[in-house]
Amino acid sequence: MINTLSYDGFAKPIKDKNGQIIAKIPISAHLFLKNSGPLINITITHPKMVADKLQQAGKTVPRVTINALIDTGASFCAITQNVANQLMLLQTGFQNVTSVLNQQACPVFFAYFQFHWGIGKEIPVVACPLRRN
Amino acid sequence: MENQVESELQKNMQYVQNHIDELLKTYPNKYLLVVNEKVVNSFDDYAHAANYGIQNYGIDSNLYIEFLNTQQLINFIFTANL
Repeated sequence: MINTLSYDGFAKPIKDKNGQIIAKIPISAHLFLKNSGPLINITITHPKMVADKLQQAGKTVPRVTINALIDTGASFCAITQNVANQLMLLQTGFQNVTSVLNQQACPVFFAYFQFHWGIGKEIPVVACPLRRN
Repeated sequence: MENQVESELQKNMQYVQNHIDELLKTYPNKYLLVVNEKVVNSFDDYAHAANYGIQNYGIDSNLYIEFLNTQQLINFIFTANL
């Protein structure tokens, strides 16, 4: 069973009789993954330098929040072409992606992953034809 | 516009493929930034390459980044320490 609790760097807060939070205990990411399953809520947007350029041009900086699947055996981060189109991400190349059906060159984009506990990372993401089963 | 960028990126990719042997010798395990079919710089990580390209060439240019990996991929493990 997959639990889709969002991870903010802390375990479930301890509350008093009145429902007031009296303690928040830090929990490491690997323990959260072990206890709560491989789905994580993240926001994808443009990296800061791209966002600055868009804002200078009077454009808005789009962002989407999605449930991402953590795959510890993956070689790269993958998004759907639909998410890449929504965000109008900057393409920086191609990546050969091999599946059981075929091999194809998929576009690579420069993106920023924002995690809900405050940190984020500028990374390359590959737009693949992902299928939901 | 999108197709034009993709076409320019494909030209840059073709340039890298045509010169892959010499590039691997000159820039082993580096992220290569290619603009207008010319190598403009090399970096240790992807984000630095992308940010350098955006700062110097803008977001409308054909910034192509390729990692020149000299290590063989062995069942998802880049280096097998056996």
